[in-house]
Amino acid sequence: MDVDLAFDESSNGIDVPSYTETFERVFPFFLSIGMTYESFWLEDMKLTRYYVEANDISDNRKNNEAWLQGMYFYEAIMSGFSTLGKKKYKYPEKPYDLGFKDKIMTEREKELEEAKKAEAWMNAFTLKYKNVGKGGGK
Amino acid sequence: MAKQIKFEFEGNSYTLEYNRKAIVEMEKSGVNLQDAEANPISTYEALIKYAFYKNHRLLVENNPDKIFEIWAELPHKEKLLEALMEMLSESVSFLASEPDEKNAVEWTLI
Repeated sequence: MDVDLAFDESSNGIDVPSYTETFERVFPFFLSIGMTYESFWLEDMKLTRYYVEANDISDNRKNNEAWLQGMYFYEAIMSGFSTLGKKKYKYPEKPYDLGFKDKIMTEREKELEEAKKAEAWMNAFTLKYKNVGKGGGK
Repeated sequence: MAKQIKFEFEGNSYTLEYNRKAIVEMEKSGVNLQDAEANPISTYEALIKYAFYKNHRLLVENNPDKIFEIWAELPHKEKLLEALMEMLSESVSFLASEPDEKNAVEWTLI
């Protein structure tokens, strides 16, 4: 039985697409995230990376907004049902405050930051203590 | 901004740089960039010629001999070719963004 492996020896049997094929394959994606024909084909090639990064940021923002929307729905449902029970739950009188770092940071990030601060304080304290020792107990 | 090579020749300023259109035109001319080892001379010639495409297109289309005349006068050709290869690879750099420094894996060129 004859088997035609159809391997391309030059590329170790792997059919590597040409640059043109690769560009044409990904071009619709870049159009979908707002890149123009000129930007993709004619301008600085690094622009695509920034478009991808900007798209990631935009996706994260949409995700956060969806989560926030869910929280408001949750609050509304909770406050609606609370009229039926004994425990009262009040819908927030004003929107969540999104401007502060504390609201965004997770508990774990807070812990890590505190640990870093503690380590820096300890290092400074140790250094000061050593210097005092060198200075003749001043 | 993508990497560029700049120089002066006979009172004119030149900026060598690729865009994707230049690479497509290079492949249309018959060069197989994925198999450069098979035809290194024609690949290098194409790399040089189409590095002029983005900013000096008329030269590529109307007077390609001038390009090789300029090339003949440029020193450190090996380094220039390395730089051109690096510039070419930027065209597919959209496939991955740089990892965070803390997650980056160490690697060594041997």
